[in-house]
Amino acid sequence: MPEPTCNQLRSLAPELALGALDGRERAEALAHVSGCQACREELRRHTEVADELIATVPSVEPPAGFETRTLERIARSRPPAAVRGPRRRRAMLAAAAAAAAAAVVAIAAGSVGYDAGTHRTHQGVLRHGTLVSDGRPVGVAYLYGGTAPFVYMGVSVGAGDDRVTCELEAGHRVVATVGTFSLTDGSGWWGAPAPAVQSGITGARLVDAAGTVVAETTFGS
Amino acid sequence: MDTLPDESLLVAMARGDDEATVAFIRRFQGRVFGVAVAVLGDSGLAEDVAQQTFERAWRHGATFDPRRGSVGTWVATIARNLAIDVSRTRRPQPVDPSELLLLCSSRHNPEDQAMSVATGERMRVALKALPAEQGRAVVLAGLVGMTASEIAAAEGIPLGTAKTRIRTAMSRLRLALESERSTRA
Repeated sequence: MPEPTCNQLRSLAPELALGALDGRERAEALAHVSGCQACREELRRHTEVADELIATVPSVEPPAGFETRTLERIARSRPPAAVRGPRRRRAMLAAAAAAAAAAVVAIAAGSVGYDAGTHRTHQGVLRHGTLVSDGRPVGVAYLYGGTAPFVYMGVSVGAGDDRVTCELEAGHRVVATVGTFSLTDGSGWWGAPAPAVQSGITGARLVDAAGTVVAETTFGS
Repeated sequence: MDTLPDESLLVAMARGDDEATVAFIRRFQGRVFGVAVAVLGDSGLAEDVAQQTFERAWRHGATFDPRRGSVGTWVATIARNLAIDVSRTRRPQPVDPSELLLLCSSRHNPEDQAMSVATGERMRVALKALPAEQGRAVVLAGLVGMTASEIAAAEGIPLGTAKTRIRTAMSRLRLALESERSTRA
């Protein structure tokens, strides 16, 4: 059977979003959607409804000891320490960048007010601050301390493609350059190892190729 | 840790922070276990699914896409998908669609509402307003993972009727949610 047309896809989209199509129909519908922006958008709107359907299920507290058993299960699935290094670090940075991007989405939607803050844990200190441009929140930056410190951020400022450099400040003095990353259509998220000077850092700023400060933040102390 | 935003908690968990992992489990365990119990109707199987859900969230936190929705929705969707996989092979009793519809469309206790996302309540209202047969069809598809053919067999109706019920229900739910959003905006 050929791929469905756009009209046929619109009929199938509710079932596709809910997972109610059988294997063959699902494959054909997905093949069409992968090449059709309008139908992807139609599917996205139905998927939002399907996601909200899951939110109607009431919470139920699990049996006593669930937390401990789950932590034991996670501990058993940890890879041996010898192979955790670079691969795990890349995964952590990717997760960090995704979370920073989530914060940007939330800020853009006006639903979240991220100020500066600090959270101490047994394994490090997570400091964060809102990236501001012209007095407007445009993203969030995190500085994670501990044995392998790193910086990550998500920002959505202006439009167009650009490359910006992340600099760390102590007071109002730039003490380290962390790296350069790309903004696509004004947005980007990124993470990188932080330099060893991170103990005295008070904030971060993003600077474009012309040396103009695009956005800056003060971390919680 | 308890005051960290969901996304930050996910970051710290992916960073390998044990304290964050504990906080993440505490924050979402009710929601995750609730989804698993609703789909499976069996507490033992639901616990296994809930544990798998957190293991998967811990392992695949890097794949979280913030454009697709909240961390809560992401982790609940993992639980739903795992529960559906288990239900196809190990569920002792099929879930009663009328009971499931009642569960999802009823107002929850205040403590539970505080833990659930705000969108859940408006969806419950929209779900309750559907004709019962449409509500059953949409929860069987969306939560239990039944295909239209399976719903037709379970409800004793022609395949075309099952498809119509699903499509009409989704269309009404979407309209209700979009209408609610435009009212707020």
